[in-house]
Amino acid sequence: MKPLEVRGLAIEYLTHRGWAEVVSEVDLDINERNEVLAIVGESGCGKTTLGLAIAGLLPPNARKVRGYVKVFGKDVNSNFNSVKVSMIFQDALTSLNPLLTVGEQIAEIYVHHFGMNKKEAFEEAKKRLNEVGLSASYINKYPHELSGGQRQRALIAMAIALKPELIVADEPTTALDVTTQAKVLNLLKSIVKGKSIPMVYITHDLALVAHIADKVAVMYAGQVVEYCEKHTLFKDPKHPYTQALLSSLPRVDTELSELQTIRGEPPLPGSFPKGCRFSPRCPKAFSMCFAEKPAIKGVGSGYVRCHLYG
Amino acid sequence: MASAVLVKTLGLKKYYEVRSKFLKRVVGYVKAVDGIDMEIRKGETLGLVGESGSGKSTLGLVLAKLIEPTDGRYIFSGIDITWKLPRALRGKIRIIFQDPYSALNPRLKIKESLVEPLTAQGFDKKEAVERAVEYLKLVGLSDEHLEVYPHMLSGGQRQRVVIARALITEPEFMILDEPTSMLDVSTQAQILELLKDIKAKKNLTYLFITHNLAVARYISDTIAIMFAGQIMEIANKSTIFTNPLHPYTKSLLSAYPPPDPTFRWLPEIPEGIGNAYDRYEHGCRYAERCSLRRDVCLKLVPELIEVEKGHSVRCHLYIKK
Repeated sequence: MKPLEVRGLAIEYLTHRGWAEVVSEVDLDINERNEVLAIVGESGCGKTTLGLAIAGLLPPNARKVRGYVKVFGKDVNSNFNSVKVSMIFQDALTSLNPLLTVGEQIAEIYVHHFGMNKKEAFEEAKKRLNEVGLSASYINKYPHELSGGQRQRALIAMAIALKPELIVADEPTTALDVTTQAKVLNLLKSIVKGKSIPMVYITHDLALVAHIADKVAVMYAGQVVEYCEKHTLFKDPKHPYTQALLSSLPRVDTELSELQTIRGEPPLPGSFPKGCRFSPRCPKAFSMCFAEKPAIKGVGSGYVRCHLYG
Repeated sequence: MASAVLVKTLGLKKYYEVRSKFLKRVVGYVKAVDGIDMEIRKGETLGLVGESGSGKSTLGLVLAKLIEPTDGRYIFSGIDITWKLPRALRGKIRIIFQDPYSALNPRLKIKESLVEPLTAQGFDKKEAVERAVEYLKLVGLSDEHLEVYPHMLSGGQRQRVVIARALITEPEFMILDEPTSMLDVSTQAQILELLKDIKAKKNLTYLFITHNLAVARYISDTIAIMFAGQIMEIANKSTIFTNPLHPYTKSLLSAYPPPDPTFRWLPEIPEGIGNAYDRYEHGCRYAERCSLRRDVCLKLVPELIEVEKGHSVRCHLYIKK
């Protein structure tokens, strides 16, 4: 059974103009237990909504209209209690309760889910803290006493406490400094590889994708436009959006004289263009792109959503 | 580069007082900016790189004349403006902030935001509006945008308006404080290209403050690495990336990978906390985290010394006895 299987997923949000589709026809897979699937895209492309849908945490003003998310064969929506997915959010300070110590917050999980007594639960909490590189003394600290990186570690400790079947990490290092980011990223990678917990890693940073991911899904305007193995993505990007995104990136390893820019702005949900959603900004668009929606075409182990590969 | 020095600072400092809860007595100082000596030549882009809390934004505010320094001198095109900015130089130094959402007054139309700095300088209304249109076009917008409110614009468009508003007084020196870090990659590329283009057209000098090494490498001519209020290393941008000397620069460079999966990324990040201002009265501020620390590092503050032409570093490893 696959750790993650998403098929034809579409999600709508209730706006003041009615329901607007923000995620459309998403197909994704994680095939191995130690695999990291990265979802990359710019703000407003629907990557966070997709992450919430995978974790079964869609807010009340959102609804699934088509498709399904299955974690180890179980549908996330119909088996919410038996599917164990942990989510790690970007902002650790708002994810932690400021009135409880880190230890209390982790121990709480063990008390509620496994019926442990307080003492056993705190012992377990200490073990989890050690696993994320925090010493046992942190158990009595409040979130405000920790640095950004330490808070994110505490959050990761909570995420692995329940022995989840899948972790969804939504921009977990975006609020951190580069040096702290490198450490947290290595920690996440070691958890996936060491504990064999598959992970969906949502980010806007292609440089991080190159190092943490195994497979990458590039999102644009609510759709996955390209989905493939990471080496393929960086060596031979197929979709014009992926190509443009890669060449608009300033780089640390070479001196560039010019950055490629993508003209215009991404469309907003509710006003997606007819035909291909990238067509108004695409340098390679031709007449069919403006009229017909491209279907996905399998390329290698992934797929691309573009008329160029018809 | 033989052009004249436009901006020069000598031992520039900005200390913030730390007061006790009771009686509000001064119990110490946060040395946010502690002795900055630097020169920016006309037409140059100096990239100021540092992590959060390194004092890079405070330095930007001091150079923009928005806050007064505690000590030191600030010389702008040969005139000492540390304490007083002569009337003739008003509008010649402008700053652009990170967040284009809070930089524009939500109750003012774009036209009003753009015209205000001009009417403050005594322009008449009609002339000011003409000039506003001219600058909107320069930043890639059009006169349609005159009558709209900020909430009707996207983040990239707002940042363009902010740039137009800064340019409208015809500055010579622009301080850009993380102007693209809230923007998406594709919008960031547009804004960086725009800034480069405008710099050439208007013969500007930039101080580009950023935490993003990739952006710094793209936009800068010279890069200064800041840590805990001090410049740790300053050199030509290619030198910084190909021959970094300071242990902090090396660790910073190893912390951010290139977007290339074939690159073997092995970050070398020492343990220890970040910018410790108050604890290091003596010695190098990076000493606690430094893997090459020696006894002298804890006792003596290293000076910023030039090790080769145009390449200075603040580290005891490079001070010859």
